[in-house]
Amino acid sequence: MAQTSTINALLGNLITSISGQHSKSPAREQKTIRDSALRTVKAQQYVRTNQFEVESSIDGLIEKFSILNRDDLSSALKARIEELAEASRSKWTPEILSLFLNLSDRPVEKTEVDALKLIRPPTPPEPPLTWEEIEADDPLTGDIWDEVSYSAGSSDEDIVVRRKPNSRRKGSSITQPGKQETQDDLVSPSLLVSPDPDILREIEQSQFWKSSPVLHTTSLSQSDSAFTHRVSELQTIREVLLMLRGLPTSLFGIDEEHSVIFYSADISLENITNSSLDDVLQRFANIGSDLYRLRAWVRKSKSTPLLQAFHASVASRLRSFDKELSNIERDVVAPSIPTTVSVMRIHDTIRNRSRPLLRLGGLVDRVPTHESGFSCLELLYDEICVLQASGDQESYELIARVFFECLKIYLRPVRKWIESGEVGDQDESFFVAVAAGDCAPSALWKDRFKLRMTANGELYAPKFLEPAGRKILNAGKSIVFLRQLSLQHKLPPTLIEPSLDFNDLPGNDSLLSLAPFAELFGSALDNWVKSKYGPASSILCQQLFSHCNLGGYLDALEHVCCSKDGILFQTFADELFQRMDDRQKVWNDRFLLTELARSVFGTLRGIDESRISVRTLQAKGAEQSVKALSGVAIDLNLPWPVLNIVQRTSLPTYQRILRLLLQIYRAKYLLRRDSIILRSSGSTDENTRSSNYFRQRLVWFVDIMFSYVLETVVQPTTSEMRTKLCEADDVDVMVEVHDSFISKLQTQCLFARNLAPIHDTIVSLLDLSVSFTDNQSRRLQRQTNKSRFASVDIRRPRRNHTRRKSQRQEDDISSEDNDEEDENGEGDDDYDADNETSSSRNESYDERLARIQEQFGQLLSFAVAGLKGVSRVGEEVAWEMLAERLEWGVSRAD
Amino acid sequence: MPTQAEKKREAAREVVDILHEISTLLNTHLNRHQLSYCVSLIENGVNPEALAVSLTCHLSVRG
Repeated sequence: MAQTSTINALLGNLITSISGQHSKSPAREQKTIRDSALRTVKAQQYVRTNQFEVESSIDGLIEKFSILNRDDLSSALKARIEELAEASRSKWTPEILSLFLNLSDRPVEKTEVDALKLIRPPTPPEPPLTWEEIEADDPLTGDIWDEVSYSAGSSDEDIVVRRKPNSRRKGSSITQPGKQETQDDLVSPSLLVSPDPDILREIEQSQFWKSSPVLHTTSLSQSDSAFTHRVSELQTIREVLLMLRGLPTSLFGIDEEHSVIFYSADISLENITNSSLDDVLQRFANIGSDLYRLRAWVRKSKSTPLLQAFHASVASRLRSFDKELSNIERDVVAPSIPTTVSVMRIHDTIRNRSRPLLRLGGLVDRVPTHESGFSCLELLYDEICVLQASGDQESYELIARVFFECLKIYLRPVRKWIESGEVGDQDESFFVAVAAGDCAPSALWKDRFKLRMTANGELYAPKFLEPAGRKILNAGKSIVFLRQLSLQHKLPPTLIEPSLDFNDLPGNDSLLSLAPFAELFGSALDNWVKSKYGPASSILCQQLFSHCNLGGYLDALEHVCCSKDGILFQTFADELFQRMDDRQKVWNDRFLLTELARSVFGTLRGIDESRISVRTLQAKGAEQSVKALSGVAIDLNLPWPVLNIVQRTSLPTYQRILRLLLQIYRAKYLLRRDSIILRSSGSTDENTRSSNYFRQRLVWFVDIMFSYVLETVVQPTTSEMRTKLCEADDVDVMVEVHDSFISKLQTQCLFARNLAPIHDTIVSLLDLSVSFTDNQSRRLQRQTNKSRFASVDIRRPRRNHTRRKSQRQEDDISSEDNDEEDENGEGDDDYDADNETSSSRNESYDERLARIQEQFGQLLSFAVAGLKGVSRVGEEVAWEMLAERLEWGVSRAD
Repeated sequence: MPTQAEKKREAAREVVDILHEISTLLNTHLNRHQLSYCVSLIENGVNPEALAVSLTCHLSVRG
């Protein structure tokens, strides 16, 4: 019951509290409300509060608040619930919370979290902890709190720490004593040197003429100091020396645009008239102007190596002149011996010392600014010659030295070329250039390199190098040639080369000092070139003979083409003629002929028979009857080093000689055979005698030609050529020797175009022997009509259209009808030379013989006359000799 | 030195503060006194739900 009364009391208070807010209602009503509330409270239909349910409701509510974007409410509620859980372990907490949940009235919309502050105002933040509190609590004692002393060399000493305004530390400073504490003051004042103003003032005062305005006056009066400044000689000399160094001064002005220095005319010296002073100053100004121009030129950079070398030489001369100026100044300012300070004396000294330099300056003006050539070298060279001739020894020496320094640079590509045969492709200043870098090795000497020429046809080199230009070219070419032959190891090691320097010029001693520089330099350059060129060339020539077997190949050419060994040649020729006469269809098959040639000539020592080959041309027709034996050509495959000497253009000449010799041999062969036949036949009639006589003439003619070609022309010329080749010291000379040999052969053998008629005449004469023997054989055949000889030897004049130059089988070989085989049934076939225009079908033996003889006489006379005519004009002795010998035959014919 | 009773009182006061805050957050319209009466009633066995009903029905005049 106590509980009931308690509850009643509490409830009554509660109701009173709640309704007291609205206390307008009477007491009775309040009692009614109290009772009904009591009855409701005591009602038993309400179930017990489930704490888990309450907990989940609260959690759900918190989640609901955060979903509905009331994170503040959610977090506040959550925090309070947690606080409540920590603060109270009461068992009634779930009931209370349940009451709250039942009484809550739309907290999402109506609750203001700030209202909590009204309930429990926030506790003020704790005051920050201060050092005083810490030290009061735990004072800083002990070694651990002492200042750390850093080492002397530590850079920490230099660090200045800026004091923070709210620093918590007080008391000790972390900077070293004695240093400034501001960060910017890094340099100690003791390190700064302040200029002494007194000295500066003194210097300015000494140049007093700058301070007041000046007026130009031409008065001669010495006392006219109102408008001029009086300066001392020492000051004048100082200003002059400074001006000569190119420095700006107050006494002299510089016109940079025109590179002229002029003096200011407002000064005067004591005891010297103004006009004299003006004169001296003017002269100084002139020297200064020239030097100024020279210095301006030196300041510009140069592009080509040669100009750069020149520039360096001039610059070094300027420097030495500056040193001399310094010496002069020293002598004036601090003389070791008492001297008089005199402007005139200084002027004389400077004039003498600067003269060579001014000559150089004059030369510099003439050098083109941008050039890739060598005009500065030529200018220097000319200047040296002039100076030497005029006797100005100092200038001559200076410019000569400059010249040699520049020459050394210019000769660099030359040296490289001479020593190693290399030439730069881009080097436009060098006079050797690659003409055809990819030419065949056989044209290596002639075509690969060339000399660069100017438009005037002169060598693109300084004129003093022109005489040596070709030698330089050949020296390099020899190196390249040897390298191509893989024989560069044969070159001797580099000898000490004669130096090209002024000191080494032979004219420096007094004996030769009168010799002109051109001579001295020329001989020095010549020695230098020879030292490089000589060994390479001579070694190359030797190697051409020894390693490349030039001599062997020349021998081979002579044997094959010039019948050096008559037996061998005759062996080959006879075999060839036999094949022709045997009427083999393929007598000119080149493989067979090659085999024949190799078997014959391959026996020679030193000849590789695989290099021999025979080339045959198809005879084109009766009109070109020259091509029978001329269709046969023996080729000798020469290696490329030999081809550099025996040029390809000379090989046709060899072939023509071979052809001519074959033609002569053919005539000889036929005549010999005919005489054998005749002897064997033994006939002695009148015809035989006349034919013998004619045959004799033919034999005589053929022999004369034989001996002329071989003994008069080929052999002497060849031996001369071989001798000269062995003596040659240069490949150029060798090539020239061989070329002249070939041209001589051509001339003397009448191969020249203008001598073609005479040559043709001679070949026609040789042809007559063919006709004669043919005639003879026909006669014999007619006489015997069954000889076995005919099977071997009879020649059938099948197509004898033009018999002039036919050493071939006249018709058969090339012609379309190939059935002239048999020798027996010839009878009419013999005369069935259908195309025979020179003889009619019914011409008898005698008539033919007479005709042949007549032709012989005519042709011989023509040949003699022609030879005499050309020998008079051409002055060729050989022609004259031939003409004379042939003339015997003419006179006899008449 | 706070006595045990004072500590208890302090703790109780704190709990009431928290409850008051919670009730404010949930907008129950109860002031501190009313809350304390309610807590006492509940501690005396009154059903919270019944109490809530009587408060809402019979004392429906709410501010």
